[in-house]
Amino acid sequence: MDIYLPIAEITVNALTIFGMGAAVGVLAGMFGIGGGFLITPLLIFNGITPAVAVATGANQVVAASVSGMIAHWRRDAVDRQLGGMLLAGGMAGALVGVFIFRLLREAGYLDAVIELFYVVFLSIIGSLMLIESIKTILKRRRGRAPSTRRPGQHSWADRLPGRVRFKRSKLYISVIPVLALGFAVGFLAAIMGVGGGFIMVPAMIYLLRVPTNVVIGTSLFQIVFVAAFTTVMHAIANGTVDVVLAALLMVASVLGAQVGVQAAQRLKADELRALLALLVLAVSVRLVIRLVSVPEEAFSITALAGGLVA
Amino acid sequence: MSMVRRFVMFAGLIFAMVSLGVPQSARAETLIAALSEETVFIESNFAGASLTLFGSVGRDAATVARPGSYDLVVVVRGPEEWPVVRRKDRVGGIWLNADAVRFRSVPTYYAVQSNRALSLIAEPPSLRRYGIGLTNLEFQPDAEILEAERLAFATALVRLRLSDGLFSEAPSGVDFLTEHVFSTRIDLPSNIRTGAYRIELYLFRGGALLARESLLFGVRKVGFEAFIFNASVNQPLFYGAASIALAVLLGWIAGLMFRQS
Repeated sequence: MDIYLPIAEITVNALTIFGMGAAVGVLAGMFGIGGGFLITPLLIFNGITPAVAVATGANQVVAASVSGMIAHWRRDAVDRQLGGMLLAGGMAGALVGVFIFRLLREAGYLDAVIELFYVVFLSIIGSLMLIESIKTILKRRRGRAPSTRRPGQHSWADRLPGRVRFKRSKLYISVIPVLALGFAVGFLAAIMGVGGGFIMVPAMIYLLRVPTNVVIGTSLFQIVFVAAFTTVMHAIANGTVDVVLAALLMVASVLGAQVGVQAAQRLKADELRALLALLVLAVSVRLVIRLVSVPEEAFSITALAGGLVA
Repeated sequence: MSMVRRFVMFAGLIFAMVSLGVPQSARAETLIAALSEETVFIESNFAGASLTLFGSVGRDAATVARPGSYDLVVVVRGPEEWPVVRRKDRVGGIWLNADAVRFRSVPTYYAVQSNRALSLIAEPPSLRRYGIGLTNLEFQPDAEILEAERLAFATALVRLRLSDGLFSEAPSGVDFLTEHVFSTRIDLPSNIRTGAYRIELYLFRGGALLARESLLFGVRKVGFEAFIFNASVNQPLFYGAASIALAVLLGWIAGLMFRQS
């Protein structure tokens, strides 16, 4: 079943895209991730230009994160004040990111830069996840309960000026690391088309020491709004959001996510996490091969208009 | 529509045109041609299109009799663009786009069909004058560069467009059904640009151009695809906001389904 994508301006097999979205959705549901960092490279492997893949990925992140955010909001598990400040930083980061995205696109470096960002982040996340899950598996085999690390009492972030009291999180910290974290995640959202939860959550726990009961909700709050803002900015500055492609991915991934959530309850989490880590590393290796191997065709044509990057 | 019906339709049309007396200068051949469709519509299931061109060489009693048979060349050009051709180079182990050349006014689609090899139809200078054949197209960069570089990038442009199916050359793409009646098929791949397409017909005999004719057709996005594309170009803010609204709606519905299960 072929479908013409009006912005990407190519015809793709709808079942392939749907299957891909569903597969990522299953993983997303299993592990409670957005899946943006898997969808974008998979779209690139399927012939969608990186510019369209990233902007459309940002749109998909909104759908993947919004229901979680609503659920956490209802349970009052969102620190609105902290989330708002992260969001302010995130919007600034996304703005800068979209601007740089446009410059890179005009200069012809965008594809390589997006792929490099993915290589770096996927290798780091994949390796950390693999190490973590192997450790947990080994501990369980030795019959010990996996220990959960506790954040330290002080961090370098405490010594920075401009401290503000965040009531819901019971924190009294400088706004500088909060804005910086928001900015970094917003920037990545614009360049990579990801939500950035994989950076936001650990940074909130270990750097800002936000209580764990509000971490996920606040992170989702920031992700939904930053991804939405990024989508609109990409639509305005680059015209690369393909809503038909996004709709296919969104329907597939939200359905897949349900299957994933069900499956996660019956499967061993550690081994699954090790598998996901291997998958992430495999995607990263595939991207490295793309970047370092001698290209079959050294030349490419770009016509800068809408999504028409060939 | 079957090929036969199409042919009957066009043959009838051409017969009507000939018998009604299309104005023609004495002593010369005229070209009469018609296209199966005047507009190609891009819809959600668009996987390329194929147009049929039928035509006939018109002669009257005063037309000078010349030895040899007719040769026909059909050139189809799509809307023009200023494409940037980039060449990758190894930088610190990875392949990055390094040099780039921007060419002026290159057709986004270019197809040449003829009844036999172009080199047999006319001499290179006349082919070059009319821009007939990929080797006779002029690719001018918008900045001064070395001729060797220009050639390397122009060759790459043609090679890439050939592999996209946007450029093509078919030396046996035109069929003469009789001595005077010809037909050809114009294949448009799914990645074509929207806009105005121009078909130029050149009638040669013994290397001399006897007549030319041109036809136009359009490629348009219609229905949902057109709506989406136009919205993204003309109303990007609204388009972006609508994309978000769709995402929120889908995410929210999924959330409701989660809670029930």
